[in-house]
Parts: sequence; structure tokens; C-alpha cells
Amino acid sequence: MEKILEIRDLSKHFGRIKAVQHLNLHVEQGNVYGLLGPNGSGKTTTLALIMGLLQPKSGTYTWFNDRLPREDWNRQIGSLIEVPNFYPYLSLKENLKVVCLIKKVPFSEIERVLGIAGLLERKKSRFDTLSLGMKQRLGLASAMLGNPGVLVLDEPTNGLDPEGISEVREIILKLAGEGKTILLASHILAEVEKVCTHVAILKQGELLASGRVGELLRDELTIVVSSDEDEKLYEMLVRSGDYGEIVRMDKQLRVTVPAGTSPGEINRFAFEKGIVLNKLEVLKRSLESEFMELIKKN
Amino acid sequence: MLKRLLQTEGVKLLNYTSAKVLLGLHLGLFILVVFVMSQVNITAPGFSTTNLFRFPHIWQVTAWVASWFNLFLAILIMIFTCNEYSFRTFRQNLIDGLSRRDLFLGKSAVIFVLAIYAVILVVLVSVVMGIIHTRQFTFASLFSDISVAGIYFIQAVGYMYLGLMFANIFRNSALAIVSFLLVRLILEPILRTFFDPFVRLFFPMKVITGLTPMPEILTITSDMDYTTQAGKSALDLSEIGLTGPEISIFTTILVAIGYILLFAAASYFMLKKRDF
Repeated sequence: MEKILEIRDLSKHFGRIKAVQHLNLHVEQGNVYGLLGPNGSGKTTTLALIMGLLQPKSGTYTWFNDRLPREDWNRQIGSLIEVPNFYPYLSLKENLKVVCLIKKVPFSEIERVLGIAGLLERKKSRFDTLSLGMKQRLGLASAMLGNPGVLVLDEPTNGLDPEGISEVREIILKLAGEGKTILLASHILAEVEKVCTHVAILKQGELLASGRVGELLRDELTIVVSSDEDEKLYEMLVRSGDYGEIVRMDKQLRVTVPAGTSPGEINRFAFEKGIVLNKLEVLKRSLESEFMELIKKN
Repeated sequence: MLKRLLQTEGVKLLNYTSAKVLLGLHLGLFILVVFVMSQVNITAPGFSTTNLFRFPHIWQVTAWVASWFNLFLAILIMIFTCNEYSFRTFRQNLIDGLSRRDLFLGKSAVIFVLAIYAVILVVLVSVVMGIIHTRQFTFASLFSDISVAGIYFIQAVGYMYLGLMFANIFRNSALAIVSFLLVRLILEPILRTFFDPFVRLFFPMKVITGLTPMPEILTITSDMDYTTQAGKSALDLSEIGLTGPEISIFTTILVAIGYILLFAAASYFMLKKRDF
């Protein structure tokens, strides 16, 4: 797979604030890459850096494996960074004309993308008359002009109602299905889990983890066990040293085990120690639980 | 690429009401002032103002009057550029694929187009007024002083590049315009007084306004020839102490071009290095 984006040791400081610190990341063709992190973690700064809006303190980034000249990079990328910025006094069509001229895309594309965004009827309206959700849709329409192979989207469902969020998610899934490479920053974990193949988790500008969504979730497994002799079971599990974190929860124990550990092994272990388990449940780890744990740990 | 940049700026500018109002004011006020001046005929024994609107003097008069309205063009550039910051559309243009150099080139293209429009206006008004007021004109007399229009072009470009620099410094229309006016009308004139009279001639606003100086009104309106043995008119405003020392127009043009390059370079580097 061709490397679409490679970030090497990228840093950006705003005065004393270290917004991004020594970030290394690469995105391959066809990846739907989620950038996750709490507010202020450096997601938007990272996207602004790789779109050339900010000057990095150090480090570099390369789009399209340096196959294209630098000045053509952004024309091959459809982007929506934070809120869409358009000329308030221009109509939707005129605003998209400006984008078409910059991207060297024929004006005939305008009707197509306005149709996808459900804004065709408003094409003659001034931008400043649109609702927040409509502005967001226009931003997406603009990003889709010229049918780019790469999309960079920062919180694309911001300001949308539940129906709009669902529609945008459908659009992203459809675009991903067409083989487009998508870089998506969001703090809505469920959204990222539904659409992304890969994720990178950021906190205070530092990369905490990155990789395929499945791999990230499969590193560890949580098993909930209970027994009439839960105190004895707790002591045995701790003493064995074969298990990770063991947490008491009411009359149950949450045991963290390495990925690949069979729940039957715990059952066998307890049986050999003369303890009968009356509950054995494997908890499916979600991106949310993974994310929360990583954020708390760091 | 320049054609695309011009088209892009055209979509932004031609649909912008403030731009239409400012250009309308520039056009209307300029024509009105020249027309009213041409209708006011002040005659004194040996002097007549109608001479001002005859070839070849008309070129100097219209260029001088047009220079009063360069402020409208500079204000237009300041508002137009500051809008890009306040609407955050410079940022969006970069996201969509313009380079930082293109942002500068786009605004430069607008400056040159507006300067060309202003020169065409000066040429048209001069030709029409000149034909109306000159009793017996020849094509040679019509074009004899047309170079003034070219010098006016440099002046208009200078004003607008200075406006562009202020817009890029302040990124806010009101601040940029107020600062521009402060420098033009108060700060630079005050600062000049601290320097030697010769050095004063090289201050940026002095140089740029000096490109289209006030015509030699007494010499032009006089019915008599008062040329001295030294080949200068005895009615020359500097000779009779109404204006200060001057530097040659050639030097003024060179220094003005230098300042324009400086203003343009300042804007370019601000756009090149700034975070958006």
C-alpha cells in the first residue's frame, strides 16, 4: 500500500503550550484513520500543520510519498478543518466557484456536490443565511469537489442534528467504501469506532497509541468472574502473578488478561484451587474503554 | 495560474457591495470634481484657469486630482484583505490548495487591475476634457504629456501596496484604515519636521504623493510667458516660495518603486511566515 501521509517528529508550540510533540504517524492508501483525543490534545493542530496552515516548530510531513509537487498536495485533498470558512456575502454556488477555481475543478461539479449535501435548493442563498448544520454540510460538499482521493475531516458532525450526524456518517462510510483515504479527527468515540480502520490517540500533543482499531482493542481482555469464595479467589489470582490488573466490583472481580488468553484458563485455575466459579463473562472492550484507560494512565 | 487567481479574486470582489460602493465613489467623485473645476473659470488680468484643462496641462491636472482619490483604492484593498482574515477565508483558500505565494499574488493582481482601471479613467477624462477645452489641438499635443498617466499608475500601485501592508499587519479593517490615515496625515508629516529639508523629500508618503505634484498653476494659467534667463518660469511655485525644494521626477519614480517593492515584500513575508 502506498504511504499517503508520513509525519516525522512533528512539533508545534504556541508560546509555552506544547500543542504537538514529536509526532510520528503514517497513513496508507485506503486507511480510514481516526485521530482521537480529549479537547486540547492537539488533533486540530496536527491537521492544521499537515494542511500547511501552521508553521511547525520542528519535524516534517510528506503527502503522496513525495510523488506530487508540494504546491499540488492540498488540491488533491478534500478538507474540512474545524468550521467551514466561506465568504458570507457570496451565494453557495459562488463560494463553491471560488473553491473550483482554486482546485482547478470544472464548475459542473458544484451541482453534484450540492446534491450529495442536500443543499441544491439553497444554491442561490447567501452563505450567512445558512444554519450551522447547513454550513457544515456545505463544508463537506466543498471537500468533495473534484472527487479527491484523500479527505481530511475535523469534527465533521459538529453542529449537526442526529439525522445529519447519521447522514454524514453514511457519506463517510460510502467514501471509505470507494477506497478513499480518510483522516478523521473526532472526540466522539462511537463515531470513530464505527467508521475508522485505524486510530491514533493523542493527549497533550503526544501520541499515546496508534494502530488498527482491532489490534488496539485486542491487546488485552477483561474477564468478569465471581464465586461464593470471592476473597479467596482474589488472593489466589493475585498470588499467581499470571494476571494483570484485578479489580473488586461488588461481589465480582474484573480481571485483565493478555489478548489471546482463553477464559477457560481462569476457570481451570480456579477449579484446581478448589474454587467453583458461578460467573465467567468476557467483556468486549470498546474503543471508549480503551481510550479512557489510556488517557487515565498517562 | 495568474488567470485563475484573477478569476477567483473577481468572484470575490465583483459580488462585494462595499467594493462596488467604494469604486462608485471613486469614479463619481473624480469625474464630479474635474467637471466642477472645469466649469469654474476664474479670470484675473493676465491669468485664466481654462488653460488648466487644455492639452498638455490637463494631464497634470487630472493626475493630481485623481491622486486625491487614491485613498478610496487603498481603503478598498485594506477592507478586501482584512475580510480574508476576519472571514478566515485566507485559511480556507490555503486548505483548498492555494499556496501562501498565491495569496500574495491574488491581492497583487487586484492592485494592478485597480491601478489600470484608475489610469484608464484618468486617460479618458483627460482626453475628453482636453478635446472640449483645447481650441486647436493636434494629436502631438494630445499625447505630449501622457507619461503623467504612467507616473500616476505607479502612485496608485504605491498607495494600494501600502494599504495591503497595513492590512496584513493589523488584520482588522478599522485598525488598518485608521493607522493608514494616521501615518499619511499626521505621523509622517510630524516625523519629517525632525529631519533636514533634503532628507524629508525621501519619506515614503512624501515620495509617493510627489509623483503627481500640484500643477504649476500660476505658470499654466498665465497668458504671458515669464521664462527667466535660466530657462525657468518666474511664476514657478518653488521659485516664489510657495512649495519647498523638490527632487527630480526620475529620482522620485526610482525611490517610489523602491518603497513599493519594500511594501510588497513586507506583505509577502507576513503571508509566508504567518500561522493561519
